[in-house]
Amino acid sequence: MKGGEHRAIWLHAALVAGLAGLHFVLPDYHHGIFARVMVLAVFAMGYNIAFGYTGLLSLGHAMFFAAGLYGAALPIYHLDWSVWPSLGMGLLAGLVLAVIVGCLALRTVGVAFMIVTLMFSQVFYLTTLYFTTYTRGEEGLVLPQAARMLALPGQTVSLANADMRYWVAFILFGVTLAFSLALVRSRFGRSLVAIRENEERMRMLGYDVFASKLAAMAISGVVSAAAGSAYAVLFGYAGSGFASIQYSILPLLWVLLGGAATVLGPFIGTLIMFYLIDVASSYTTAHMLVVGVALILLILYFPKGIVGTIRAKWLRWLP
Amino acid sequence: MGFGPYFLLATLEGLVMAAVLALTALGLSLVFGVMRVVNVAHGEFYMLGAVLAWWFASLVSGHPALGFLLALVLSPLVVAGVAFLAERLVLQRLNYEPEATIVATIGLLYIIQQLALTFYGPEARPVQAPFDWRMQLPWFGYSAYKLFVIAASVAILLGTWFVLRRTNIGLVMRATQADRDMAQAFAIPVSKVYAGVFALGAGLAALAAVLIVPIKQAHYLMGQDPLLLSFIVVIIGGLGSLRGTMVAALLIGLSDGIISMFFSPTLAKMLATLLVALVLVFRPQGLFGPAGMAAR
Amino acid sequence: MTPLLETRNLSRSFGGLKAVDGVDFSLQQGEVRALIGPNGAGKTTFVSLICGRVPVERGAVIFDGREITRLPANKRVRAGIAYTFQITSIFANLSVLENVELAGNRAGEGEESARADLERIGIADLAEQKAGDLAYGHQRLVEIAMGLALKPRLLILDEPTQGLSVDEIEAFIALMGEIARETTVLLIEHNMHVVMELSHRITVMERGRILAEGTPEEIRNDPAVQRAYLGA
Repeated sequence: MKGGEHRAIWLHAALVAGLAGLHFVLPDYHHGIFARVMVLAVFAMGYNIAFGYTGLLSLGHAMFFAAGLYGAALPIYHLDWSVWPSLGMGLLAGLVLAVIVGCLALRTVGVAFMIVTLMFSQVFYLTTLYFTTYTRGEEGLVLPQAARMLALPGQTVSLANADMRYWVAFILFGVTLAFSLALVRSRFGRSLVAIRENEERMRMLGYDVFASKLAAMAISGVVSAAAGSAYAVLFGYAGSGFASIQYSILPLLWVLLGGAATVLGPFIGTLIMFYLIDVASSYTTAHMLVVGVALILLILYFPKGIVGTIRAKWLRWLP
Repeated sequence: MGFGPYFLLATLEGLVMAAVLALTALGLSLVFGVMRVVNVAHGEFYMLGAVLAWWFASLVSGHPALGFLLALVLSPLVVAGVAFLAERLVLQRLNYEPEATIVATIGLLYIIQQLALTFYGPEARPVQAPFDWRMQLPWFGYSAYKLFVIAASVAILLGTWFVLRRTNIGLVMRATQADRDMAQAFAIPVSKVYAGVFALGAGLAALAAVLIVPIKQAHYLMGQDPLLLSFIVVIIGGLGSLRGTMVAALLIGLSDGIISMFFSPTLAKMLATLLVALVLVFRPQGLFGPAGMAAR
Repeated sequence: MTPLLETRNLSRSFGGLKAVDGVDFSLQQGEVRALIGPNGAGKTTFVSLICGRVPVERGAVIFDGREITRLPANKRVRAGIAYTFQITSIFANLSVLENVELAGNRAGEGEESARADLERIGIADLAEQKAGDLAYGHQRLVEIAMGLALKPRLLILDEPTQGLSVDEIEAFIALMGEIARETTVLLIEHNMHVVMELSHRITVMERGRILAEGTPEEIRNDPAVQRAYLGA
């Protein structure tokens, strides 16, 4: 499908270019939302690697996001670290957690896997509450603007600046998008899809299914943690809320809405859902109702999501 | 109070917790056992039971026992009705596919919870206990109502056991649990059984909530802890094992009550959750279930 | 000469049922061995113990001189054992070519090799079709193509002709004749015509044990086999 490959690259490049262009035209409020959406879309893309491509329905991905979040925020807040090493710490935390949880949780499948990941994530959440002296629990840590300086070759920029925030989020998003595209088309990516389709067959074709799933979990965890770390330094806040169940359900919703096992789906789903909730919250405090309704409607009538349906019906070449 | 009586007090409190937990967990266990469905919204049925209990009780003035009685009868029925609707409209259409069902019940969780927030509000409201007597023990006075809760729970559990083991309805349920296809071959209306069991599970949770609401208050977020605890009970006790559920409820109710009195509740929850996750990983049949009855 | 595959006292029970009961078996390189027996004799369980789908309870499996009893299934495949499923187990949503490529990737092969494998089996024109859309007979052939793409030393076929038409079966026999020149084959079969045409030797199983072993002639004339299976 060579033609399809070129079209796919052009399409994704167009999206990236579009987002770059939006920086110059979006009014302030929406500009800030897009920055946030791009970071959360990275989280969604990370989740998609586990859920969409490998078929691992985890209900605990909040712990990976939060590992990145706290992994970056705690050193900045308590140890006066600068941004780069803290980001590295966040990624490392996500990786280690993903490998440990993966080794345990991947011994189960299906419903048991969902529950086990949910529970591990709950333990993580409760841990952030328990060590409230360091994390300030639900209230959270506010990272001072002075600490959020990014050292670049030639200059140091402040991440409290809205322009810089957008660009950093944009670069992270672009890199992750390119990475997802490459992963999906690689042999490893295709073996993950095959594992999701028929695990036993893959085993009997000589694939080490456990190792592949563990690798998928690790990649998924690191990408999710990258989003978490970025969120901490860009928006200057880390609170227990990000480790709660809600942040395990949201990526599931974003990916379902956008289209599981598609590269563009996570971004589309995150963008739409973010705006839906944003609009709903101006009307009522019960805006999470939107989440509930969306989940049920999606799973009943629209399980392929937006990009997934487009792919199935019209554009077969969409990765 | 010396340590001994303090421990006794903790034990009694634990028994009350265990009693309510047993009913709630039983609902979850039945639904999973018969339908193979993990109902994440189970805690919200519990909460709905409490919220409705407050509402029914507030309709009746006069002796609090009247309001309570009304709540005790109507609240589980209404909640069972809501569950029945959800089953017919959503779960049945998904053909009970395990992963899709869990996602749907998560959606249900948010809907029920947020609707409660909208119509009931974020406050916690008390319901008056039907009677105010205290039993005088040598070291402290203890609420007779709490003892009533324990007794009522035991009665309901025995009743459920009786229905399951000794009546036709129970037989039909157990047959459907054991082998759905065979049950269909024997002309058992599996679809109706599923709807009934789902409603029954929700009704039991609501019943438990009505019993507890004079002791705790009704709050729109009160379903979260019972959900987690019921999960723990059902997983440790072994999915589908009635006896395991009872024993686990007793263990966990008692230990949670006792640990919470002496240690941080957060730590207690942490350890319990971690324990359950590890049990699911290493011994999926729980501590009592037969080998092979895993949470697949 | 060291046998390619050997089992010693291989046993496996399920609950109280002894599916495979102390089987000593050996297979030489280059052989085509048919494994026959009534339903429930333990044939599929036996080969599942060999390829690793089912864990061994007692006894040993030795492949190419190396004990593989505790080796996980995917490593046995890497060692050279390929298994095609009794109930077709392919990737329905992927194309035929992608199916075979997945198998070939394991042997370090790419797209051209996969197309060549399809060519050999005679289904090269189906390469781009979705595997789930194919007729049953063709799906069975995709299974076999996947098995071959693994470049195995030992190819285990579990009832490969089940559900195939008479013509498809004849094509299968011809195909197998070719494959047998480079690969050792162990096949479970109920179709006696296929068995007699293809096999060098036949092993008859009954109730978890080996009832008889020998050339097709010997087995055809064996009274015990006639009683138990062929229906005297």
